Parts: sequence; C-alpha cells; structure tokens
Amino acid sequence: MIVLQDVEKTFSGRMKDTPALTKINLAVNDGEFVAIVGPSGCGKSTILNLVAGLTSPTAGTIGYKRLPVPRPNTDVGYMTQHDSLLPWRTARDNIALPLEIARRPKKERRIESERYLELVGLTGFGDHYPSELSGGMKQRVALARTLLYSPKTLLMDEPFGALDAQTRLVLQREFLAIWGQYRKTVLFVTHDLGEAIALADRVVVIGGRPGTIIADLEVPLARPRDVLEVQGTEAFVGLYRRVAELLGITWNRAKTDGASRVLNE
Amino acid sequence: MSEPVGTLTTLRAARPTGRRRGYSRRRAMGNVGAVLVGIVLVLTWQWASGRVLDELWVSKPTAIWTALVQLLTAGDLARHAPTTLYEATAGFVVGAVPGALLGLVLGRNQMLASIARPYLVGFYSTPRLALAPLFIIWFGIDAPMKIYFTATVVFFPVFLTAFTGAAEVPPQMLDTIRLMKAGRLFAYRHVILPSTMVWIIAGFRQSVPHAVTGAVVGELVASNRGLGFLLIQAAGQFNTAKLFAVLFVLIAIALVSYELLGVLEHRLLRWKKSGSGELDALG
Repeated sequence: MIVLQDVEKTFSGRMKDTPALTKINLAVNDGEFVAIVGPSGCGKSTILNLVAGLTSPTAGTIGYKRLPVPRPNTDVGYMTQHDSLLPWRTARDNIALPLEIARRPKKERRIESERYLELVGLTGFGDHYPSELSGGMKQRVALARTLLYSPKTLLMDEPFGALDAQTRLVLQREFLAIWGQYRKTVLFVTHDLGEAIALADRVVVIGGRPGTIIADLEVPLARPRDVLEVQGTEAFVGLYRRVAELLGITWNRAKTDGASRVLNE
Repeated sequence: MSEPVGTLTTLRAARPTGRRRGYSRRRAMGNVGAVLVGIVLVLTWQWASGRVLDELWVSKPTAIWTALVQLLTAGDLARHAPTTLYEATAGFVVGAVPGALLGLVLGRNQMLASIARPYLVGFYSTPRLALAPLFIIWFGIDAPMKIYFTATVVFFPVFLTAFTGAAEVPPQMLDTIRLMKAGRLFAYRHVILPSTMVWIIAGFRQSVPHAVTGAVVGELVASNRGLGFLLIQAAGQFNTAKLFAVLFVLIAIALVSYELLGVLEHRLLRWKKSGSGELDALG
C-alpha cells in the first residue's frame, strides 16, 4: 500500500544542506497500524510529509497504491499535534470542512458533523470555538474531522503529544476502539515508546543523523487490546526495553553512562 | 498565531489569567487615577493661565469651553465637521481597501512582492505632505484632493499589516485543507482571509487617527471648509481658545472612530474573544 524505497531527504539551507533521512526502506500493508519512533529531529515527521506528498524525496521513490505518490496525496488524512483546526470555525464547522470543500449540501454537513461529534464524545460542543475547548477536546475535533474525510490512510504526527497524561490515555483508548471499527492504514509518529507499542502492530525505530531505520519490530500483542492493560504484560515490557536500548537509553548501573552519552551528542 | 503589535490597545496591560478579582480592582483604581490626573492637569492649566503663562498663547479651560459651546450654537461645527468627517471617511476607504487587498495578494506571492517592493518602498519614502501641491493641480482644492491625500496616508499602515498577516498564515492550516482537496479559492476565502483579518483590523485601527490627520492637513493646505479651515481661521484671529476647542473636537472624532472599529473588531473576531483552554479541566 505504502512503499518507500531507498528514500533520502536533504533540506537545503542558506548555509549548508542538512541531510534528514537516508536509506529509508519501508512497506506498510493495507489496514496495518505502524508506529514510527525516534528522538526529536530524527526525521520522523518528514516521512509523513513525504507520504502526504507535501514534500518530495531528494532520492528514492515513494509508492502509494502501486503508483508514485501524488502531490498532494488527497487520499490521506493528516492529523498533527496542533494548529490544524481553523480557530474561526466552531467545532461543528471544523468537522464539516471536508464536506464543505466537496460542496455537500448544508443539511448533510449538519447531520454528519453531529454524528462525528458523537463518535468522539463531544455531543453538545458543536457550537464551541477551538479557543473555548481544552487541548484534549481540540484533538477530538481534529480526529472527528480526519475520520469524516474518510481517507484510506491516517497519518498522525504526535496527535496526543501535547496532552496531559490522563487525557492522552483516554484518547489513545478511544482512538484504538475507533480504529478497530474502521481498520484504516495508520502511520503514527511519536516519541513515546509506550504509546507506540500499546497502539501499533509494528514499531519502526528511527535513529542516527541523518535518520535511518535501525529496527522494524512486530508488536506481539493480541487485538483487541486495552492501552492500559497491555502495559503490564511481559511482551510489552520486553519490547519496550528493546526499543529503548536501540535508541541508546541504557539501564541500571550504566545510567550515568547513558546520560553522559546523551550530553555528548 | 502571533499578535499584531503596535495598536493602542497594547497600552492596556496584558490580562493575567487567575486572580481576576485583584486584577479588576487594580484596573478600577487605575481608571480613577487617570481621571484624577486629568482633573489636576485641567486645574493647573486654569490656574497657570494668566499667571505663569500668557493666556494669549495657551488660553484656558473655561475659555475653551465657552468657545466650544459657541462653535456648537453658532452652527460652525455643524457646517465644518461633516466636511472633515466625509473626507476622512472617504479617504480611509479609498486608502484602506486597496491597502488590505494588495497586502493580501503580495503577502501570499513572493514573486509579485519582489516586483512591487522597490516601488512601494519609494512611495513609502515620499514625504506625503509634499504631494499636496501636485494633488491640488490634479484634483483641485475641494473634497477629492483631501480624500486622495488621506488615502495615501492610510494606505501603508493597512498594507503593511495585511502583508505581514498574509505571510504569517500557519502553513499547517493550508496543508491540512489542501490534503482535503481544497482549491486555491477555498484556501483564500476560508483560511488566508480570516487568518489575516486579525492583522487587517489592527491596521484599520492604527490608520484611523492618520485618516483624520490626512483630512485636516489637506484642509490646512487649501480649503474654505472643514475643521482644518476652522483651525486656520482661529489662528488668523489669534483666537487660541477656539483653536483648542477645534483640536479637542478632532481628538474626539479620532477616539470615537477608533472605538467604533473596536466594536467591529469584537464582532468579526468573536472566535478570538474567549480565553483559551477554559475547559481544560474536562479533558
């Protein structure tokens, strides 16, 4: 479904060129939930922008449904940490945006936005402006809008990254339930290893500078799962440690060592 | 979104979240203080006039008040103020609308902006007052001359804020709607225009005093009507009381229009009004 082949991306700046990604080879199947983890600045988000056709690779090819990725790729729904809602539109009008772009009649927009408000648990908040909503509610609105657009693929860039721990947990759980119903292909970027493992079928670990895939691991957890329950399981903890080690986070007595290593980078 | 800077409203201290009661009390005390300072100033003026300073130069509040009442009752204001108001308003529209439109277009199009830049900078660097004689040749000495003159003064603050605002539209918002198959027109109407509106209105509010200034200066250069003409007349008669009375009328006009635009701002930017994250506790 999504195939990245020998993809490289270099950003050309005024002073020098900055290589962001190198030798990225990744294939994502239909209906698969893939999480991409790695330290900040490793080029995770660039992968999403490439798949969305918002930027083109310096080298290599990106296939989407066996074809070169269109620019922009209107087959995807893109959800980011913030800034994607239009602040001058109410929650309802934000959700109905894809229908308005498609010039659907008012009545349909009204009915559909109400349905999706309910889906994300925001019934009664349709007339609120984003500035009147909490961070969690805003992300629910963004999610509702992305789902209403009904894309084949969801690209998510730390969608719950700016939320407090409890809200994040609630939204992860609800998102997983919704995903269970629709089974869309998901590329989910996060720096939260726990989130990646709890949600995804596969965890792709990016590291180094420029970023490259240093591991591609199956998540050995059955579905349907509960985000909170899986976190105590042996499989979860084992994978968590493995990914952490891959990212250069060392354990036990080597802790200070790890810290100095981080500082030296 | 970053805030447009430099409007007079920024003189009001930023509203802190929480401890609202203490804040409103301090603000109320501040208002009382402002009135007190005003009273002291007026009293000092009244006392000093004729004692420390020659009344011929500075007049005095009671005399200005009498002159103001006289202007009102004799029909001078009714005759001259509408002229100035008309010139300022028409000049504002003729300057601000193209300013906003051009700012919107150039802010989104780097190539056009590069082409236009040297000419705009040149126009901006021209002392606008020096254009007055040319405008008299072109438009005569009646209202049109003042209107176009005012327009040249109003154009730039609005253009510059609109330009900055249009250039600062968050790219993420545009990407989001592009991925939902939105075309250029939709992007302009539903993202770029509303996003830039905050800035444009700030530019409008900044330009209001300029519009009044433009009309009056135009009248000072050449006129037989308008508040600028009244000023010249009063100065010719060495009637400082009348001069100050007209000045205060001008200040009042600028303040009222400024506040009227504030009401407009409040209406158009309803979505901005409420404090962010009121419902944070609800998750």
